[in-house]
This record gives sequence, structure tokens and C-alpha cells, in this order.
Amino acid sequence: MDLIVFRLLPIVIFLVAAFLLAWWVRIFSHPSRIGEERASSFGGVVSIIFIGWAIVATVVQGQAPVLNIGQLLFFLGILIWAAQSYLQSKVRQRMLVLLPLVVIVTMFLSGILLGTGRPERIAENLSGGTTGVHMVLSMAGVAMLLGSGVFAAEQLTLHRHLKNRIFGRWFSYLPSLEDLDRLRRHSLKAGWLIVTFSLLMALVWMQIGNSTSSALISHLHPMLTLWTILTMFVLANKYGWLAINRLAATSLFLSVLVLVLLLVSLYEIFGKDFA
Amino acid sequence: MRLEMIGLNHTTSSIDIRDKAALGPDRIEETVKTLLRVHDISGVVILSTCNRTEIYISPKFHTPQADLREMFEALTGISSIEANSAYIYQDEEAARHLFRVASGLDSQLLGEVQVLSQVKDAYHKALELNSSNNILNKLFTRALECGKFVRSNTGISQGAVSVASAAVQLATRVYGSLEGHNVLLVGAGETARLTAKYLVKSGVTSWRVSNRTVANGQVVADLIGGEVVNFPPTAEDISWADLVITATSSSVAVVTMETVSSALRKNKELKLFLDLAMPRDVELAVRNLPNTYVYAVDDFKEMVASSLKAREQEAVRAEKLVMKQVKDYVDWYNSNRITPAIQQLQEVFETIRVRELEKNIRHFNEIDHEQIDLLSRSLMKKVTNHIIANLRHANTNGDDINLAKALSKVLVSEDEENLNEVLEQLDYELSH
Repeated sequence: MDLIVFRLLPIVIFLVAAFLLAWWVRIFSHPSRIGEERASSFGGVVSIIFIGWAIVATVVQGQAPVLNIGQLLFFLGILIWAAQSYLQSKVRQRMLVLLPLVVIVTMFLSGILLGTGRPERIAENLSGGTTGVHMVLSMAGVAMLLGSGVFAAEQLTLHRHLKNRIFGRWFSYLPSLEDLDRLRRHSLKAGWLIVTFSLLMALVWMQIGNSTSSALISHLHPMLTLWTILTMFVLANKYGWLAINRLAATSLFLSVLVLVLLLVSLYEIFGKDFA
Repeated sequence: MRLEMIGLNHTTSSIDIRDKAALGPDRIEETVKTLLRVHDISGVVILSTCNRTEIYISPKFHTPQADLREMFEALTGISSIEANSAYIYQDEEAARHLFRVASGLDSQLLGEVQVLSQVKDAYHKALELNSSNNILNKLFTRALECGKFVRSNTGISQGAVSVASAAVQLATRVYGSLEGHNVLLVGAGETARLTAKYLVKSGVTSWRVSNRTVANGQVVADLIGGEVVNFPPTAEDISWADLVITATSSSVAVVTMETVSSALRKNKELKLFLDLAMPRDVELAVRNLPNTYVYAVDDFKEMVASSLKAREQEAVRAEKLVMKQVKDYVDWYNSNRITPAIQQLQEVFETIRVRELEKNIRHFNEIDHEQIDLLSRSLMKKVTNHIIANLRHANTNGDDINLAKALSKVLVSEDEENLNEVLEQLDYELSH
């Protein structure tokens, strides 16, 4: 069972995602409305299958698939794809899936290479339902923030093409500037809300458990710093403190920051796996 | 195959000749009737648009090219010299030509969409006049399917190909749907009106019009359902607008950096300026302001050129898809060329069935008559289907026709005239 769920299925999922990426690359070079519609529907079905795997993995190992770095990257990729699949249904042009697909396929591959296998025993700091919920929420928040970075990158690409009068394929196939801006703001706001909730949950949990673990406190500090920066970005977007392309650039920067902090956190949690 | 076409288009004839040769709706009926009455043909469809006049014929036997030209000359009223510029295609080439036409590959503006509905109208007219036969029915339905398929599977019809449509495309690249966006129209000339018309079609309902001559501005405002405001537009008007279209004949810029800066202080949302005037109506420096995108006539021309280039690249893929569709049509035709023999077979078997049934039905109880009738039909159907399937299966190197000929000779002894007609048709198919 473990072999199927934690070894074979991730490889199948990776191959499906890689196939979808190849399909979209083909559509980009050989435009086809029917092809786009089919690939979009296929992407939607695939996202349900991906989530199905996450649920099965959770049931089998008694914890969300966040027990090692491979599982975590894999799970994050799935969350990003689910969010992107939902959001792409809100716009007419669909070519925005290309960039997230590249990110997701890379995450899946990295996850498989680092190992998605079920650990023999669950580490103490990763066991328990509250930890599971906190980690899943945090991952969902990170997925939304990374998604916002993807939209920002596409927004900046289209902005550059519009300003420099480059009327090529990207100009034609990306969603409109306003749509991308709307999606970026929605992702950012949703990411902020989820991260805030996750953080509050962790604080309440620490308070209740009267925890003074130095590991937890050292994990909390960068997260609170990130939350503060994130809140500033959300406010800047809400009140239009910067020009729209600059807001997109800051979103992209924020995504990179989130990614770096994520890697640092992963190193702290799973550091021994690298050793 | 029994298919031929003659016609002229923008590549072979001048607009004067095309005008003269055009067969408008009032002339089509008469022309079709003449063709069916005078010439030995079993079906005709006429496609007449501003760029082409083409007659698709399904003849009983192929017509010599000179006769076809003479016929075209007589029907359209053009001179014999002018008729020499007409092109003639037969069989597979004629099918290929129509499929290319329906796909927009033969259009003056590559990939244009309108021609597909013109082909559809031509076919419907033929159906209405009862002038189409099964060969033309299949040809036109396949051509229409091909036109749709090619457009859905390639980018042959994508991108803006006129300045006005380029302006609208730019607006949609910035705003997506234009519904619910405010548009300020500066100028009320022909260009401004044309672009406004495109935008109204794209769903814009909220307009302000700014024009030097208020009366002219009011005419346009009434036309698009907007209100007239000051000229030149104020910062308040620009702040209100998401999209500003300028098309005045002013020799100096009417939208200045100062006005736009002031407008942006009030409203920081994205602003798009489409400057269709020559010289420019929007100061060049506006381009450098945040949240603004400014485009001028040269940009639209560049967009159009870029779209046309992309369409040319897509045309290569489209041609391949057309070739496949033509092949499918030819395959269909070849599998149906023994149809006269099949019809004859079915008629003969049905005659035998009815005759035998009438002769023997009295031996059965009346209550069983219906069952006996059903049984005999089913029996005959099974026998004929078996023979037809084997005939179709022999569709290589004319084997099917030789078999069909043999079958016709074996089956028919009393109806000599009918037999000869079927054999003549089969011989013709074999030689073409």
C-alpha cells in the first residue's frame, strides 16, 4: 500500500503534470481553441485527482503529507495547482497556466527526488491534529502567496509587452492586465487571511499548551516578521500606495521572500534529512 | 468524380469585372434555373460575394473547359476576354478550392470569418431552390465543417486586422471585458465614430463625447448613448474615463501631460489612451506616467502587421488540415460511386419481394400477414446489405465498379434502358 501511495502515485502525478505542461507548450506554439478547452478541462480533472492523493496519503499515514521535505513539496505543488485551476476558470484567456505548471512540475520532481516515502515514525514536532491543520493551512497560505507571485510575474510580462509594443504570443494569450491584477490581489488577500489564521492558531495553541520550546519560538519570529511585511503589502494594494506595475513587482518580491523563508523553515524542520 | 467549378475572385479579376460578374440574390434563382434547364447537370450551387463569383456544378458528365467558360460568360454577362481570367477546377481540385475558401485561405484578408457565413448562405439558397444534389450537399456541409474546424484548431482568424479592431484588441488586453468601463471619445469624425461603433459592439455603454463643434459631438453622443462634455477634455473627464479615444484633426495635442497628471491624482486606476489622430492628440510625455498606456496610429499599424504575419504562419497548418478534409471527402465520394448500382439492386430486390409476397400471401392467415411482410423485408435487407458491404469492400482499382457492372447485368434483364444508364454511369466513373 505504502509503495503505491507514496512511491508510485507521486510518479504518476508528476508524469500527468509533465504531460499537461507539454500539452500547454504545444498549444502555445500551435494555437487551438479546442485544444485550450480540452487542456483546461483535463487540468480541472487532474487537480481533483491530485487532491484525492493528498487525502488518501493523509488517511494512510495518519497525518497530512507534510512529514518530510519531499512530501511537503509535493503537497505544496498540489495546493498551488488546485488554486490555479480554480482561478483560471475565472478568466477567458488561459495561457496563465504555463508558468504555474513549470513551478508545479519542478516541485513534483524535487519532491520525488528528495523522497515522498512515508517515514517509519512521525517526528514529535509533526504529530498531532493541530500541527497537521496548522501545517496544511500554512501550506495553503504559501500556495496562495506563490500563486500571487505567478500572477504578478505574468502581469509584469504583459505590462512590459504593452509598454514596449511587443504584440507577440504573450500579448495575445495572457489574460488582460486588469484580470491578472484582480487575480493577484485575490491571491494575496486569500494568502494573507489563511496565513493570519494559521499564525493565530499557532499562537493560541502555544498559549494553551504553555509551550516555551525554543524551536517553536525561533520558528515564530520569522513568521511574525513575514506576516508584518505581508500585511503592509496587503494595505499597499488596498489603498494604491504604489503604481500598479510596482505593486505587481512587490508581489513577486514577496513570493520570492516567502519561498526563501519556506526553504529556511524546511531546513529547520527537516534539517537532519539533508545531513 | 462528377464535380467542377468555374469562378473569378480578387486575385484573377479587377473590381470592375467582379462587379459585372456578381450574381446577386435577385439573379441567382434565374441563373440556377437556366443552368438546370439548359445544361446537362444534376446539381448547382452559386457563391457570389463582393470578392468572388463561383459556380459549383455536379454534372452528369464533365464539361469541356471552353464550354464552361462560354456558359459562365453567358450567365454572368462578362465578355469572353474577361471570362478568360476565370479559373476552372475539377473534382478533387474543385473540392479543395471550396474548402480553402470556407477556411478563409483564399480570402483577400487571410482568415476572414465572413466568408464562412457566405458559403453557408450560398448552400442554403441552393437547398431552397432545390438545386443541390447529394454530391454538392456533402461537399458544402464538409466545407462548412472544415471552415469551422480550421478556425478552431489554428490561429488563422486570430488577431486584429484593421486599425479600429486593433484599438479594441488593445483595450481588451488591458481591461478584459469592456462592459462597465467608462469611455471618453475626443473628436466626432469618421475614425472616432467607427472605433466607437466597435466598442459599442464590445459592450461599452458609458460614454462621454468631447468635440470642438458641440453640435457634431451631440450627434455622435446621441448615436452611442453618451453625454457631451467640454473640449478639450478636463482632468475630471479623464479621471472619470478608463479608456480615452482621441481622433481630432487638431494640430496641437488636446490631452496634455498636466491634465492627465491631475486626473491621475484623483483616480489611480489603469488608464488607456488610444490616439487615432495624425498628428498626435495625446502628448508623448503621458506615456511615462504610472498606470497609463498610450498608443498611436503607428502602434495599431504594427499590431495589424504582426497579426497578419501570425496568420500567414498559421496558414501553413491550415492548408494541411484542409488537405486532410479534402481527402476525407474524396474517400466518401469513392465509397459512394457505385450508388446507382446499389439503388438498382435495392429496387430489383424490392420488386421481387413485393411480387412474391402478393403471389403467396393468400396461403397465410390474415393475422400473420404483417409478420410475413416484416420477415420478407428483413430477409431482403440482410441479403442486400451483405452484397453492398462486399461491393464497398472491393473499392480498389475500380474493382467495385466492375463488380457493380456485373451485378447490374446479372440482375436486370427486362429493363434494358435502365441497365444501360447505370452501366454508362459506372463506365464514366471508371474512366475518371
